[in-house]
Amino acid sequence: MEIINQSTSGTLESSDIQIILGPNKQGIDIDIRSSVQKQFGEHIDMLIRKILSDKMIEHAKVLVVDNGALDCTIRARMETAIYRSIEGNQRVEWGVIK
Amino acid sequence: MEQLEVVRLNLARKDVYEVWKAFLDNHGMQSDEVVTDTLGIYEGEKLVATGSFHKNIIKCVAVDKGHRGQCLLNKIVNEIVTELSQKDIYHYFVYTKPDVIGKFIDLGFKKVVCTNRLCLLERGVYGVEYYKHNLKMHYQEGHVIGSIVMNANPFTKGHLYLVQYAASLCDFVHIFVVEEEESLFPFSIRYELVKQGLTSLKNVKLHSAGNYIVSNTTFPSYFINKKADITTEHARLDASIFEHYIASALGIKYRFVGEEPFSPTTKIYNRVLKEVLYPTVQLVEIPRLTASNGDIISATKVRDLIETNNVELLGNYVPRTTLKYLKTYKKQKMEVNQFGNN
Amino acid sequence: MTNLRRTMMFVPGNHPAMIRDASIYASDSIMFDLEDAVSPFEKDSARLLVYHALKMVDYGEKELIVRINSLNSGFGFDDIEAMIAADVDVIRLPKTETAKDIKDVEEVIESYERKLGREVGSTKMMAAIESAKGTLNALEIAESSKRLIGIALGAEDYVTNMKTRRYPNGNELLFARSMIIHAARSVGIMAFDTIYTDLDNEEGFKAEVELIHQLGFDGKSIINPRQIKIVNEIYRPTKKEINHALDVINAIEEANEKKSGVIALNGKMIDKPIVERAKYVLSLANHS
Repeated sequence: MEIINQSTSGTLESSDIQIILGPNKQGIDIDIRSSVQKQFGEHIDMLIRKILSDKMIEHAKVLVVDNGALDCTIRARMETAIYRSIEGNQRVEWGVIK
Repeated sequence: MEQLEVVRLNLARKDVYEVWKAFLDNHGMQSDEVVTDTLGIYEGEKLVATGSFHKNIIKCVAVDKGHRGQCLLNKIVNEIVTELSQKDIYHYFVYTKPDVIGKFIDLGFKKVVCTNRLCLLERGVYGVEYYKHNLKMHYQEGHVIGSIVMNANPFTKGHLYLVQYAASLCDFVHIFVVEEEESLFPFSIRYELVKQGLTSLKNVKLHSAGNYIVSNTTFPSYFINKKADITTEHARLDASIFEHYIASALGIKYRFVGEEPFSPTTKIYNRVLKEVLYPTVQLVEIPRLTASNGDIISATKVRDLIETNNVELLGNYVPRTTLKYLKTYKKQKMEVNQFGNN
Repeated sequence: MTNLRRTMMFVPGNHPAMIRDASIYASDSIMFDLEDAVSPFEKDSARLLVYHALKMVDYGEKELIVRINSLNSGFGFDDIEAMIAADVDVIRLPKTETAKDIKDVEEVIESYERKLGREVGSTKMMAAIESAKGTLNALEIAESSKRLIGIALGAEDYVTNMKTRRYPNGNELLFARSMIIHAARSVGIMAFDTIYTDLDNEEGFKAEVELIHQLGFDGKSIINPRQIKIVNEIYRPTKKEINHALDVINAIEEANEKKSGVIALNGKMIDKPIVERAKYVLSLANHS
């Protein structure tokens, strides 16, 4: 998949994570601001890279503001941003989603 | 109850406006600011938080100092950025006082620059570092690198003269057209007319100023009481951005401006700009070009002539390229006026 | 999973903190809402959030229900597909008015069960009745599908439809409650009562739970964990009821050992409904 447009997902509420996603010329740039940066900053970075690679996305700019989100929330918000950023109205493939 | 709802404040209603104004007063801000949307949180009957936005600028954010300040701030900012994203705006700015920037940084904002009285912060995936990174690709070798910032609303013989003057003295001149849409002519037109007007010059390069040259219409005045102080702060902020992100990316040593004959505000602005940029960048003021009738050429004058239908006089003030556009522009305007109201 | 459904906790589908916390409260079931609690701009977001929560959060023994958007909203099909993919226990339909509403959704559920390789018929359904028409059709709704585990009253929309509002004594809901409990009992499924929104009025809440308990409802929808304990206390069987239930079960076990065909307790015949009632009472006692 290819990131075409900018999009955002999630909120700044506690236990949530807000994502801004946009196209990038080359590679994946992730910028994380987390209330639990020390413990989980690296984990969040890895998880986001994993989600992008699951979707075969090679170029993206990601800004993340985390307020202690669970992994399932990070996945959900990240996938929401991806589906909002790709071309057309591509539907989620629920059967094969990881 | 713990659920606090963010609601829209209808400032057209006098009672709502008065409460909002008093709340801002309490937090050391003026309410005479251009805002298009204003949100608030009430606790019972009491306003405990508010924030506004105008285009991509978040303004007049104030939160009751009592309990859960950060929580209220998160809620307000969250709602504002949600509304902005619904308008397809994903990169936005906020001006704050230096002592509270930490609270915005926790929300993912990044510092662009601070003066000692206020800070400009931004949030988005393409921030000022990205802008700088892209500018660097246009780096030109040379000993004398100059620059000009212009709104070019529209491009006049005065602008052309300024560019020619700079180009004759410098190895290379970078020209920045203000991108903010606060002018009579939209950015795309202003940029195009500058481009057309400069085709014969080889040692100049045109750039969009992105979001990083702030016009006085978007510069917020609500932190500062005195008019002169507003201009000073504005100039300090602009100078600081120019120095840190633009001049440093391109190795700019000189910035050329037209001498200001009329406006005391612009005079102050240029004076402060000069002080702050020195010694990294030297500000060079050039006397304004005059038209054949002795008038000083300015874009303001050109807009006046368009407004008063003196199209035949425009040739004294604008280059041929701009003139050609203005003639069709005027014609279109008149057609719209003629048929537009049917 | 127990056979108890005293408390069904409503959780807004786009609220990560509440979705996470729902796992630690003692409600019998959780109802994640994709419908009225989620703005149209966030339907996609909430659907993915609930999907991943269902897959990754440990909700223990709780029954997991999702309220979907209606099929004609433009969101319903995706909601159903996502929730079946997430292996939800029960899909709850909003604003049900006819048996056809249920059958239409059932058809969609079945097609996604086949597509996603889930056993056909394993996804249960629940219907919320929220209008005059739905109330009058309560019986045909209750009878419309084998998947239905129960029907529920949704009072907020119902009172609007009836051109009234909610009153503390609940008289405006008496007919709808009576219709729903009768329809449920005559088909042998469960009946659930509506939410109570005034969180500060604990007495009012108690009175309402006592009323629906008296009417025979199996449980109540709740919006705050503080309400769980109150409902469970009202549904807790008395000592006498528990002792009687234990006697019934004893009598069956004795009869089974003796291979006796007829079971009696204190000279009274014990038939199937009495046994089921006894098991239910013991289950209530064990979980309160």
